[in-house]
Amino acid sequence: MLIVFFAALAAYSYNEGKARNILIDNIAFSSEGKNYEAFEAIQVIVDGKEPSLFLLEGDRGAANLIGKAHVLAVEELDENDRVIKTYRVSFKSSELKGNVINVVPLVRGKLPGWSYALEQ
Amino acid sequence: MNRKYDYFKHLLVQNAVPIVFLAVSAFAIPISQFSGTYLVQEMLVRLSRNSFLVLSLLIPILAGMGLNFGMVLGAMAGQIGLIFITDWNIVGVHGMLLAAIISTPLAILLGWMCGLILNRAKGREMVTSFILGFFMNGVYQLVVLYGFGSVVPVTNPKMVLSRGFGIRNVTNLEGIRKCLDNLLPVSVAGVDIPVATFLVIAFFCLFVVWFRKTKLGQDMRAVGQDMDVARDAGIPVERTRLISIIISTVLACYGQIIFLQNIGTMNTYNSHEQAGMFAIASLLVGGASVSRASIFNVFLGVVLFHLMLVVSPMAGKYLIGEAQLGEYFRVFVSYGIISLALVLHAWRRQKEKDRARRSLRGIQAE
Repeated sequence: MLIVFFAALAAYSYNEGKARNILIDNIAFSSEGKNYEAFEAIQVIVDGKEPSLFLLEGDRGAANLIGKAHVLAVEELDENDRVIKTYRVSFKSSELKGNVINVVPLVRGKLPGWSYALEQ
Repeated sequence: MNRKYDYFKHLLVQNAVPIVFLAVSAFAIPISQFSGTYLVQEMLVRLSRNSFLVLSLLIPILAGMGLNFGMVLGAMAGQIGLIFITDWNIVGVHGMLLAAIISTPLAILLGWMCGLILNRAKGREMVTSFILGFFMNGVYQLVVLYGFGSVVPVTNPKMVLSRGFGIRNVTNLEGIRKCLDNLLPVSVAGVDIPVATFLVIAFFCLFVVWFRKTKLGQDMRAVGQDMDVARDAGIPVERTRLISIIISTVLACYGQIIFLQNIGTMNTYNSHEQAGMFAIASLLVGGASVSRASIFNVFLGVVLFHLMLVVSPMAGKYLIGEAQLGEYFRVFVSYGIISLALVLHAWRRQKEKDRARRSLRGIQAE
């Protein structure tokens, strides 16, 4: 019984503590004939943790995802770096198809291709 | 008047070591020119870092097995757990917990092996565990230097030596650095207090207090007082001693994990080596002996021992222009205090035998 408990605790700790490094892109995206432009300037907050990522159009930043479930907050900024709009998207680590996330399709309803592998 | 003098003399003799350390620290602190806030902060950090390791020594002393130099086996088990979680990139408190769970079976196995050997070396437990620690250090280095990366797969290339197998000299524990210390951060007058770590230590202290009252704890005490009498009373002496060493090794494993999460970096081949020596030195500085130790000795010893380690380099620099004095003290004092404690223990036992002999003859003890 004790062994089962510790095995379960180990599995829980593994899942909740597993960290993975990801890259966050702010690049233009096309899907089903529609083109989506990249944001001019955004601030990305991963799982509510500081520091946030400041990305201009075409930029890429790195972040660390810990655990299974995540929330990405994307704050669209104007020329004076004031927040115009905030997008909050939840996703699970199991939904990731690689270690790169493009916020442009992500905030528009998780369009297919929002996560992809880094090209070597 | 004689009685008061005898009592005072007895008190001095019983607490000679902490008194000497207090005197040396009192002398060195003003010379070191460290502020009170800095020293308080350092002592809190060192208390949180080292107390668990020192507390793990209490149970073998209760069972009459003396100072468990074999606690380094537990430290090694903890380090292997940390290597795994670093490779798998498990961070935070979850990483620490997973490291503890992974290393527990290994610590139990090593403690069992150590206990079996110590049962065959009754009366010579300390030196046997000391040498066993050296032997297992060799096995550990063989496993970590050749086994990891070849037999045991390591996926993180940053951890592996350039030849493709063997763990690097330094393992970065950035993922779990201060994760327990910062779990419940509290700051009072500019002094950070790692509340979560102290809660864990407090829980362990309660465990020790509770354990002493259990049947197993009482059995250990009986075995510690007299093995033959305990055996005649039906206590399984060998099994009790074995359990005490296993518990001590497992707790040392957790203590090493707590120690290393505070440091944030692990010297793969060295971190465990001084774990036993400094923990034992700390306990002895706190006034414990080979046969008797309390929770108070643990905390007093950690504070006094580390206080001297903190102030002596700066005191040495201002006194004789040589900061290396601190390093000299670190090694000399650790070995010296253990030697002094062993000599005092032998001397006290001889005194007690003489006193008992005199009282049997009907002569008043001096």
